[in-house]
Amino acid sequence: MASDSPAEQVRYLASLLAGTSIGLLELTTAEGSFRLLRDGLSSAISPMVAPMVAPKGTPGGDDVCAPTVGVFRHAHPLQQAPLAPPGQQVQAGDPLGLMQIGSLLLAVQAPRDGVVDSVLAADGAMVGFGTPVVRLR
Amino acid sequence: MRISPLGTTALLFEAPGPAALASQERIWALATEAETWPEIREAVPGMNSLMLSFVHPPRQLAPMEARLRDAWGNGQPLQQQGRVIDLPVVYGGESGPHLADVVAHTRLSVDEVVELHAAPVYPVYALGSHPGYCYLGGMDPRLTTPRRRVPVMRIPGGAVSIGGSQTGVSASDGPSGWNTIGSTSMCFFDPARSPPALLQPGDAIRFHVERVIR
Amino acid sequence: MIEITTTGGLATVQDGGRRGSLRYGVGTAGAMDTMALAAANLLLGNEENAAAIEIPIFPFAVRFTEACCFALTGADCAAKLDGRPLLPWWTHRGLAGQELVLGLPQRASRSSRAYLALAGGLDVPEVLGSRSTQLRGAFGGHEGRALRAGDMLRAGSPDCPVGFGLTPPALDLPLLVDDLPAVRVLPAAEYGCFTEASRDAFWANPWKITAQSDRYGYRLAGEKLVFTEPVEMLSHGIVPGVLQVPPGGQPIVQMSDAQPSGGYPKFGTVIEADLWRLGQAPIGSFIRFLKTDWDQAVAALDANRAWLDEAKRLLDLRRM
Repeated sequence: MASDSPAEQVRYLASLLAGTSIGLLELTTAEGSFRLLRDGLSSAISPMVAPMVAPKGTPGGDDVCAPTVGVFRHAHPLQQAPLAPPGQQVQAGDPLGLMQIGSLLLAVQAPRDGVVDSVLAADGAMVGFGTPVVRLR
Repeated sequence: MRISPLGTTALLFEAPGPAALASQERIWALATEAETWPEIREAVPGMNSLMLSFVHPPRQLAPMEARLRDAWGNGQPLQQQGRVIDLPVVYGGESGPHLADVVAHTRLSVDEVVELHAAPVYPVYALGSHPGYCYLGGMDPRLTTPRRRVPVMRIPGGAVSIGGSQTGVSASDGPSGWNTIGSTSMCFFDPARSPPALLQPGDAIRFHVERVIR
Repeated sequence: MIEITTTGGLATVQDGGRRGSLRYGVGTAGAMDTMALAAANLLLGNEENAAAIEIPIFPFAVRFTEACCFALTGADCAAKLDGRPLLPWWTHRGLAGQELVLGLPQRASRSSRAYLALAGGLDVPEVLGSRSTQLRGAFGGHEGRALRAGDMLRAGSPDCPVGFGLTPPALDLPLLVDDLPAVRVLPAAEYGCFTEASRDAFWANPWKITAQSDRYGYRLAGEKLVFTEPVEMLSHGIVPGVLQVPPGGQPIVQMSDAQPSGGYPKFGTVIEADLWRLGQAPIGSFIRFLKTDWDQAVAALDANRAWLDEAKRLLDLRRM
């Protein structure tokens, strides 16, 4: 991934979104949040800094967050079965869900061994960087 | 003449009239010319035809077709000063299992078939079918024998065969619908060699009767 | 290095194909699903047409003799690494001693061939400009033949970033008619030599991929194509995709291992841009044909190119 500086992050995300049909996305990170808005006429992405929002607490530290902005997928597009249905035993590194950006797919990986408590984000939902998507117990 | 696309991969040019050396020499000339066009990856002679494969398919076919027609119209026959390769052939027996079928179809004797087959110098018109395989012109029409109704799954490299009005020598083991009348031992293709094929259009093959097994 | 531990036969080393040797009688060979091959290579940061293993029969298994990064594309074969399930169309890392097993293609993927690519591409010698296996003539690939248990293959490089995947192009560039996979066909020189009724039937009906179908060609079964009169042809150049019609009227589509010349009448050509779709059609399945023209056939190539370019762009950004 690109450097961690906010400016670099914005550039990285903007380049990722160029050429996709995604018009607006919101990022929530530990430092705050901002929005990327693509205007309807050109394919350029214009970053727009939104008011800073205090990060939400993650109860018990068990929420697994989206590693990137994108569309959250419960299952691989070729497969029917969700990767991590509630109650499923998982090992550290197992994919709990996928993030889709255009044709690119990234895994939301289990940070530790555990059991899936609930899937917080809907299948097909557009989620921001750092959004909690799966809860482990 | 007819020009038709093979998908977006290639264009096929078919010259009018039956296959004959004079026409084939014009095909070779056309191949030499077309190969200099930037859109063309390869100009591949067939029997009285030429296939042009594209580097990238052109946006429009019409200009390419017009250019091809012009080049054919203006082309002069390319007389190749090729080599003549002598191939000793064992006719009949285990390595010529269909000699009897050719005899039966042509109503010639074994000796007549062998004599007629070994008489001409066969010009290589084109390569195709499989690595190193030569399409030959010049077979005596009296030897014409239809392809087999059921193709043979595996004939060995070196098999000398007749299919319709054509004759040839297979360059490696593989399936064939032709009538195998004999065999020869010659390496027609070696991927490590440059060029990898022993013969090219304009070269010629002469068969020598090494033995006839009845 | 990887060692082939299980193979049902017919798994071969293939790259984007061998170009420029048709004049010597050498066909292109190359991957049957060039989009899956390219995607596997892009996932690993390889050159797009680098050599990989094409697997048509399962189970198929390899053991890693050292750490090695790999990508799986093509048919979703419920792959497992030491028993742990792996995502399809994804990059993974195998460790020394681990075994990768590919099972039967999952029905939902409607695909029949899997591709296993290694970081840096498969390091086999280039012959006449390609690493593809040329079975007739026995050269290229690994010793000019299909892979056997015990064969060892070397990766071009040991490592690359892993842990991401691509959506299969069959989902991003779908082409279905009446819920059957379809491919576009450009009519060829002898199209007019068939009766109008049988031409109409060709476009209107499904065609079955018979058991006599392989990398050389797909023999199809459907409503017989009827000649208006017998057609005699001289041998001429042909390419993968050409739909030849023998006297019996059941067409044969030339595929990657097709010989570079033929003499049967040609009904049409499955366009280059859609050959990857046909290359995945399982034996016994049905497909439909769509009549197309030159402009659409060229545009379809552009669409494939755009998909690959966009995938490469996203992957390059990911690896930055």
